[in-house]
Amino acid sequence: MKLPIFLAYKTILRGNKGSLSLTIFILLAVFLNLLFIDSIFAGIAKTMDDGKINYQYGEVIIEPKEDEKYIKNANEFVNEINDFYYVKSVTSRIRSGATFFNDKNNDGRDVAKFGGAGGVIGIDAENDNKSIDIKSTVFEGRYLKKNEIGSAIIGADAAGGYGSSPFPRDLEGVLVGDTIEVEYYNGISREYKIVGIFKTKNFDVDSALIVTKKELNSVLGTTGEASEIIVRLNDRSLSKKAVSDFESVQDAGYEISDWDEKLEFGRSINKSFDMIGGILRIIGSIVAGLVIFIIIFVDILNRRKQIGIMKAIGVPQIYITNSYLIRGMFYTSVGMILGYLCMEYCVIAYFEKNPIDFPMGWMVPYIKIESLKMSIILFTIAGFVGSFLPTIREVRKKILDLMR
Amino acid sequence: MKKNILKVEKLVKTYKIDSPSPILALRGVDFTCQEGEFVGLMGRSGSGKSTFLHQLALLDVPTSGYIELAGVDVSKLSQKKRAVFRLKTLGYVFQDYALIPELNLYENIALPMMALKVSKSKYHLEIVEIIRRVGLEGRENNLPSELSGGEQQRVSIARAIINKPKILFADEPTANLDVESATVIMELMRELVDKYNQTIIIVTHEQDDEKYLDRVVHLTDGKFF
Ligand SMILES: Nc1ncnc2c1ncn2[C@@H]1O[C@H](COP(=O)(O)OP(=O)(O)O)[C@@H](O)[C@H]1O
Ligand SMILES: [Mg+2]
Repeated sequence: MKLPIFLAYKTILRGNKGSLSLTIFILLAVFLNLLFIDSIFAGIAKTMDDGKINYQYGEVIIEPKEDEKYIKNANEFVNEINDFYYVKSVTSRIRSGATFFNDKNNDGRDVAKFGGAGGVIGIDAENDNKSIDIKSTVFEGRYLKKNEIGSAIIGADAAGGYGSSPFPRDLEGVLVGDTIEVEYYNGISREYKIVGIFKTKNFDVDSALIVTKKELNSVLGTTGEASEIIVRLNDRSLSKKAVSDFESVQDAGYEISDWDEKLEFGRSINKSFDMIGGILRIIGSIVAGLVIFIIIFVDILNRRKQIGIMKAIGVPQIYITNSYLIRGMFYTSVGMILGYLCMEYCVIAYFEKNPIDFPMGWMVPYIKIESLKMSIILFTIAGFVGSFLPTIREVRKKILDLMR
Repeated sequence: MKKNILKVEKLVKTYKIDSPSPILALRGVDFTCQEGEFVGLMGRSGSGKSTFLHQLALLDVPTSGYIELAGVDVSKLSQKKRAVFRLKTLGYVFQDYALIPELNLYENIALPMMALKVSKSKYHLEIVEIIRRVGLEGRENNLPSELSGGEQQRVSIARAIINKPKILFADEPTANLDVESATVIMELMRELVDKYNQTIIIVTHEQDDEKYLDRVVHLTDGKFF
């Protein structure tokens, strides 16, 4: 193996730098393209997952059993699960279904009505933010204050007039300072002054009204109960373990699910994304294989004479073939490495600063480890085949034909 | 009594054998050469000199005929064995030097040694000695593009003899060179014959070269006269 490595090394080192750069640049671009297509799909899928996890479910969510209305010993339970090393933060919330009314001219006419999915969420305004960061998504007005009574913040989809929304109707433009009326499912009605408007791009959340727990407790007559306990973990991949750990806490008797189970809907979209991504990756790899083939083919055509010289001297064919294979694999791997670095430190870095505005969130291309592995494997195979076929084709030719 | 190191009988080479007008480049050539002999092959352009040398040096396969090199009937050798035979037993010098452009002088000469998996510690001194013999001391790190034609041809000769071949072939090695460089090359080859008993078969069209040669054979239309 020494001679092939030596020959590959010297011919690369002392060969034409221009064509070397061009070759590597083309391979870089092909690999970058392969990664990019994939990362867009992965990015969209991740954006959807992130939107659900960050604003709605956390990594683990605890809910009452189906036949029960609330989690009874919520505070106690929160304290227990807070002790697990992988738990970053926990928040318990109370919720109620409700219909919102916006009497735009304060005259009892033209009242806009909204009964979307979100309902009313009662939060601990001091701590909820550590788990579910609604605060930074408030784009008009302010966030709620601790134990504030009579005030609410409203999601952009419910408020209306703040960009596209999946709901056919809304409150037709609620502004900070407006007062809206909320009719709870238990029949009680309250008026709230809107102090802030938020937009998470998760429509389940953006269709909600958020008040303090104290406010909602007074409506529902609850004290320490919770409708949901949202748990944030240090590591998303520990969610399954967390679920089983939490289930054994004082025989919980609650409905405990992780984000993975909660994202059933997203999953089916992700699957079709994965499939499209996979198809594009295969096409990309075939194109990559052809490009590598052509690049190396041209490279080898330019080196026919050298192949002839080496054959004439009596250098065994396998050494000659191997030296060109090493050459080709060198181009391929340098192209891959540079393509990856370019993706990570140029493309992704750029999109991190300038994320794409998608309806379901801000999208940043994302490289999945499995896709990266798959791309590397496919590209390597393409590089190998692309180097091997033209090499073997030339090396087998007659010496005198090569020398001409 | 010197022994024959090369024996050729009824050697035929026909190009485009399946075409309506095949080219009969060699029409049944008989030839022998003794060990330590410096033989010149002369003849008009197109008379088949290169074709003849290619068959002898195993760079091509003859249409028919018998070739024996250093006691071996080479027609019986496989493709692989022919390569090994070229590497170990034969040396070939091309008219256009045929050096690897990315390898420096030293590396070009070392190439056959490396192909034989000889370790550098073993071949280093031999290469130093050969570089001295061809008069290129101090130029070890030069690339072929940094050498004159005459110097490149000396590197090519050094590479051809580094494995101590039984027979050295050279196809018009001085054709691209000026008179002085050509003289150096011819003197170098004569010295190889005199000092090291090297067998050399050379194609030349220079009448003047006859003074270096032990014997001259003339090829006309693919036959000796
Ligand atoms: N590869 C080839 N294909 C067809 N004809 C060839 C080939 N090589 C040589 N010839 C022909 O064979 C004859 C002898 O050529 P060559 O051996 O090169 O002559 P020389 O070296 O004496 O000038 C010429 O007629 C030449 O055109
Ligand atoms: Mg010729």
